[in-house]
Amino acid sequence: MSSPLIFSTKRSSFWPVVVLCLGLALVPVVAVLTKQGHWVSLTTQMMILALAALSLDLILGIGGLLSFGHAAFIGLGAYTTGILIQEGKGDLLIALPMSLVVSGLFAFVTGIVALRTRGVVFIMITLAFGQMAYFAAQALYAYGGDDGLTLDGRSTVFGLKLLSNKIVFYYLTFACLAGCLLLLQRLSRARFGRVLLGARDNAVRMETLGYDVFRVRLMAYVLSGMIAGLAGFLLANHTEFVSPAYAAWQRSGDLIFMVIIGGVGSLWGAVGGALTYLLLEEGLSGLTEHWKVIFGPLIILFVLLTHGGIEGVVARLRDMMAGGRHD
Amino acid sequence: MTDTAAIRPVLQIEGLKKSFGALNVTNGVSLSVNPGEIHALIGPNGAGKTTLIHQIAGLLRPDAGHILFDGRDITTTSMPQRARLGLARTFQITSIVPSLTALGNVALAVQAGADKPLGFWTPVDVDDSLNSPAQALLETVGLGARAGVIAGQLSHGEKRALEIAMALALKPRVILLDEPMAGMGHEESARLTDLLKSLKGTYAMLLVEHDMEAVFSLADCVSVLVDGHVLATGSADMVRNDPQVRAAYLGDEAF
Repeated sequence: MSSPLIFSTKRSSFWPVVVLCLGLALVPVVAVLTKQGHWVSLTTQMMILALAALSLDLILGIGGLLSFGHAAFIGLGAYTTGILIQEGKGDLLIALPMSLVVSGLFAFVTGIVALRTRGVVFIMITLAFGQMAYFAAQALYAYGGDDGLTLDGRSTVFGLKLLSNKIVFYYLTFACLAGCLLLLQRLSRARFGRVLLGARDNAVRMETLGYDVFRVRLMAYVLSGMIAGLAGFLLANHTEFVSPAYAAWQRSGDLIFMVIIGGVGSLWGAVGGALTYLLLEEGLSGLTEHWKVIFGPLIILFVLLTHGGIEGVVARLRDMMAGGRHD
Repeated sequence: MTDTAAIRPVLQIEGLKKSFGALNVTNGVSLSVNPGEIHALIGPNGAGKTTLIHQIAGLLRPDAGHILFDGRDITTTSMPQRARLGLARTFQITSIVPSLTALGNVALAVQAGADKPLGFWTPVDVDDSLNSPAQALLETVGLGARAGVIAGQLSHGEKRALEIAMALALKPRVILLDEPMAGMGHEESARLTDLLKSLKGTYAMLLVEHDMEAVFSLADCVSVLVDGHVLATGSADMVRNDPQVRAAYLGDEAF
């Protein structure tokens, strides 16, 4: 509290991140002890989507760019991995870098076009590029087309079948999520993050200060696309299946919801938001087959009542506690 | 130009033209700003002052004419590049990053000129190489005690001072000031006049302003812009007594 806060929106995120990471690290232990093994696989899937939501929060929350085609990067990462596995070149040392390169390249090329636009046009263009990826995947008849492609197995690591072990794969996913969360939190507080945030608030001002706003946004967009591509790599390996649905716009919409539930721009909130969203979905779909009728209104109520999602609630609780201590 | 003793202007505009449809907003404007001088640009509303500033800063591209910065033609240079060359500006409508603190805003401007303006790793809020110069600039404009306040919550006058601190952080050669006193009370604008007076000599400034008291106490040279062209240029007294200017713009009650 001694140095003046630079970011008004950046409250300390140390404890939420510690709680999230510790909780996720302990899931397999608890699951094995309580003989609820399916939680390992379920939580792996949730962490993968949380990773994609986290990557979206970089450009949406900090950059102010509402991308409605973010699932395309998941799809690209997943298909790159899936195709490589089918072609017998699915080793992690090939499939992982290739997934990152392909999704990064797609982000670079589409970003050059999309980032020249603002507001609704940007949303529509990213949606269009996303759908392009979706239909391209549908047209891959050699790799399952519409039906998707069931894979022969998971990526090997140096030829070893390490990732077929659920626990190993869980902690690989966990390491990716925790690593990216720390990286993006660091980045958002560094010079790069401040320029990205400044451009969100006032792009013309940033240009008159001498910043190349387009370039900064493109860098963030490519990084974000690559992290979503990493999520795609993990998803293909986790499900041992790839499908055009991974890239569909509904999935992009899910990611936006996850970020909003978590609290836009807080990064750890996106992870918390994704976990909340998917747990709710899981719990409700177990109750009734018409679960979406409950799910939709519940999400809307949540967003309306929390003002700033999970991050906002945590911040207000903290203020209350701090206020209580002062009194 | 043959006079070797003549000071070379740091900013020179030659025959600038810009029209929106049939409306010639800038109609052959030429003027120059010498190092360390304040050149004031006055004129009635709609005369094309802000459009001219936008063209000099690079926000608008002129249809014809040239903009020379330190002898170099920057007519087609991008806005960020002009800023990096040393051309800073403030806006008629306050333009800051509202979610950062006052210190954060100035530090962001300092960062633009730093060695690594886009570092990925070191947190900025503890970066003294940005924050110390930023704090010093806030002191200069009288906002030293307000460093930790969220910029969006500063008063109008404080925001205008903050903009000037941000412009100074670029270590500019020329500052374009677009109505810095707009919306200020008498006391605030007097304080800002003093600040600009203290900066005069160090920076060349092109000052667009309606506050005649400020203009006449600050400007080394005054140009009157009417209907997109320069009606008169000269010392404050010359312009004040020019019958054409009096007729076109000032009106007797201004004196």
